[in-house]
Amino acid sequence: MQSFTLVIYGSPESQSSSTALNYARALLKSGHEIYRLFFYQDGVLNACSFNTPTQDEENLPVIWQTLIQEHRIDAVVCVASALERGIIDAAEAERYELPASNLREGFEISGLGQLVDGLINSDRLINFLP
Amino acid sequence: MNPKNILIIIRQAPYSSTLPAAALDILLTAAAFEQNITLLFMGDGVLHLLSEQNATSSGMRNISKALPSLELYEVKKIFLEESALHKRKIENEELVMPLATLSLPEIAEVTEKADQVFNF
Repeated sequence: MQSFTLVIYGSPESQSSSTALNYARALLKSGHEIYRLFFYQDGVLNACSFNTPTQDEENLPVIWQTLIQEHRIDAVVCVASALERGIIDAAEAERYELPASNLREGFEISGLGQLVDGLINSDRLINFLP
Repeated sequence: MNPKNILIIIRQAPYSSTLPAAALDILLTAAAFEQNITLLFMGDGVLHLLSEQNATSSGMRNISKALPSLELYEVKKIFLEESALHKRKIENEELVMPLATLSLPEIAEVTEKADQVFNF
C-alpha cells in the first residue's frame, strides 16, 4: 500500500478533473491510501456548490463530494485560486462582505503549504494538469 | 525527514497560461519548507528569461522579475535547456541573469535524480 496526493488543476468540465476522479477511485479500489486531494487553479471550481449541469451531464463536484465523504478524504482547495475564482467559504464571505458562500461541504480552503505537505508526507504526488 | 529533490520544469511560454506563475508559487512554497529544488526552463519556457519584458498590458505576472531573487530562498539550481536557447536564437546577454545550460542527456539525468517532477 502506498499513500498518494493528487493535485487537480482543471475545472469540472476538464479531462483533468474526470481523469483524477477515476484515478482516485482506482487507487482506493486497489487498497491504496489518498493522503490528500489538492484542488489548484481552475481545479477549485470542483468545490463549488452552485453547479447545476443539464440532466444528461455528470455533476463532477457532487461526485467528488460523495467520494470525499464516503472515504473521509482530506480535500483542500487553494485559497488564492479559490478567492480569484469566486469559491468562497463562510469565513471568507464574512471577511470580504460577500453576499453568499458556495464552498461545497467536504472541501476545505487552505494554502499552498498543504500541497507541499502532501508532497513531503505521501509516497507519491500526481499532477492532473488541464 | 530528508528534504525531497523537487524538479520544476517550465515549458510554457510567458503570458500563455497561468501555469508558469503557479510553478513559481509552488517553488517558493516548497523552498519555505526547505526542500531541495531544481528549476529548469525548457522549450518556449526559456522565453521567461528574456529581460525587458513589459507585462503591464497583459494583466499577468512577469515572473522574470522574481528569478534573480530566488537565491535568497536558497534556490540555487536554476538551469535552461541548451538547445531551446539556440533554436530561438537567444543570446546569453539577453537574459535576466546568467544561467547554466543543460543538454538533453543532462536533463534526463536531473529528471532521474528527482523524487518529484512538476512539469508545467
